Amino acid sequence: MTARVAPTQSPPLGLIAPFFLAAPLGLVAAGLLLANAGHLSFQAINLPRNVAITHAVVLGWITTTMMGALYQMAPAVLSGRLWSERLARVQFVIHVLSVSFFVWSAWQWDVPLMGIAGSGIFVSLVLFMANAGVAVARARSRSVPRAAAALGLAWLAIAGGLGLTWVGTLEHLWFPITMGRLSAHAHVGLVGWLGITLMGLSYQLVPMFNVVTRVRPRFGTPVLIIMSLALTTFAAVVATDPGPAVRLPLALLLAVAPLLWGVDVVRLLLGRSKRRLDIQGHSMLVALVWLVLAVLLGAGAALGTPFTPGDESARWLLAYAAAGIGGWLGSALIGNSFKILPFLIWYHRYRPRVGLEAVPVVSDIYSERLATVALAGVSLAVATVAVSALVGSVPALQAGGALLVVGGLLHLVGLVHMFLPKHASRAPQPALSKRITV
Amino acid sequence: MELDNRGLQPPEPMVRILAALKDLADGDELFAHMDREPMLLYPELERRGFTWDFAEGADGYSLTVRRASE
Repeated sequence: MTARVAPTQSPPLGLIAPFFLAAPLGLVAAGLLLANAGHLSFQAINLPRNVAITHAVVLGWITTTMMGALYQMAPAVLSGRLWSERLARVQFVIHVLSVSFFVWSAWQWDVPLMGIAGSGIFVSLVLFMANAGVAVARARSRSVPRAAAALGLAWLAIAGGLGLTWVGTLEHLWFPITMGRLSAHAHVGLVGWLGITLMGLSYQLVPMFNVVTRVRPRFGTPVLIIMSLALTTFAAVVATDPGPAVRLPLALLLAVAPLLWGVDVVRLLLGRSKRRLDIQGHSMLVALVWLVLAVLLGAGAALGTPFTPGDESARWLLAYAAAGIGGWLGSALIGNSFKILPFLIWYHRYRPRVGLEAVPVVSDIYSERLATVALAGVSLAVATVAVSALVGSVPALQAGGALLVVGGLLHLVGLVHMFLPKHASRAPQPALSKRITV
Repeated sequence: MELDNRGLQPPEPMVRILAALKDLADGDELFAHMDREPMLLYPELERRGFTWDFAEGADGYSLTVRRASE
C-alpha cells in the first residue's frame, strides 16, 4: 500500500512556545497563594484561596501546556492542519489574561468579576476547541491519540460549560452548588479533558521517544472507552451528592482506565530499545507512582469520615488534588515538555541546515540536568503539600507552597534554557549502508 | 542508497535521510526502512526538490525518495 501525503507544516515556534513558557507561571502563582495559606484552607475545598489555587494550577499550568502540546501535535503527529494560526495567537492572549484575572478574582471572591473572567476563559476554550478540533478532524488516520484528543476536547467543552454555569449561579443563585456538583466539574475537567488527552497522546509519545518497536499497547482503545463511560457515570451520579456507599464504587470505577493505562506505560518502557531512560521516561514513572497514590487518596476522599473530618473536610481532598493534579498530570507534563519543545526548536532552527553543516541534536537543545531538577523540585513540593494536608500542618502547607514556587521557576528556567544558542555535540553520523542505482 | 532508520527516536531518521540526500546522484533513489511515517520530513523534502513515496509492507514501513525532476 502506497500513501502519498501532502506535506504538513509544523506550527511556528512563535505560536507554540508562548504556551509552554507562560504555563509554569500558573504553578508559581499557585505556590505564592499557598505559601500564604492559613488554617481556613483545611476547612473547605471550595473556599476562595483553594479555588484560586486550583484554577491557577489546572488552567494556568497544566491546561496552558496541554494547549501548546495539542497545537503542536495535531499537525505534526496526526497530520491535521490547524484552522487558523492567527486565531491560536489571539486565543493565547485571551487565555492568559482571563485565567490570571479569574485566579485573582477568585482569591478576592469578587463574584461579578469571576463571572467576567470566567466568560473570558470560556471564550478562550471555545476558540481553542474550534481550532484544535478542526485539526483533529482533518487528521488522516484513526488512532488512539486522535480519538483521545477528540474526546478530551469534548470533555473540555463540558467542563468549561459547567464552570461557567457554576460561576453564574454564584451570582444569580439559580441553584445550590453542592460538593457533588463541584466534584463533577472538577473530575470532568481533570480526568476528562486533561487525563484522557494526556493518556491518549502518551500512546504516541512514549513509544516514539523511548524507541519501542517490539511491544504494542494492549489497552489503548479500551482505556478511552472505559474512561469516558466511567466519567459519565461518575459525574452524573456524584452530582446528586450520594453517600459514601455510592461514592466509593464510583471512585474505584474512575480508577480502572488510568490503571490500565499505567500497565501499558510500564510495558512500553520495559520493552524499549533505548538503553537509558531520559527525563520523559523518568517523569512517566513518577507520574504512575502519583497516580496510584491519587487513587488511594481518592478512595479515602470518597469514604468521607474519618478521612475527611467535619471541621477540616478539605484536608484529604487537598492531598488527593495534589497527588492527582500536581503529581500525576504535572509530572507527565514536565517530562513531555522537555521533549516536545526541544524538538520544535530543533525543527525550526536547525532542520534547514541538516546535511549542509553539523547541527545540534535534540538532546543538545535541553539540559537533562535542569529537567531532572525541575521534576524533582515539583515532586518534592507536591509531596509536601499532600503530607501537610493529611497531617493538618499549616506551616508545612505554606512550605509546600514555597516549594511549588521554586518548582515552577525551575520548570520555567529549564524551558527558557532551550532557547539559548546551541552547538553540535557530535560529528554527523555516516548513514549509508549500501548503494543501489536505479 | 538504503538506510535502516528503525529503532531511532525523532528526529534522527530525518537527520539521516537529509544527510544522505546530499550525496544522492541523479537517477538514484534513497530507500529507508522506517518505524513510522515522517510527517515533518515531507515539507523539507519538498523544499529541497525531492519527491517521495511512503509504503506499508510486510516488513513494516518504507520511504523512497528521489529528485523531483525525475
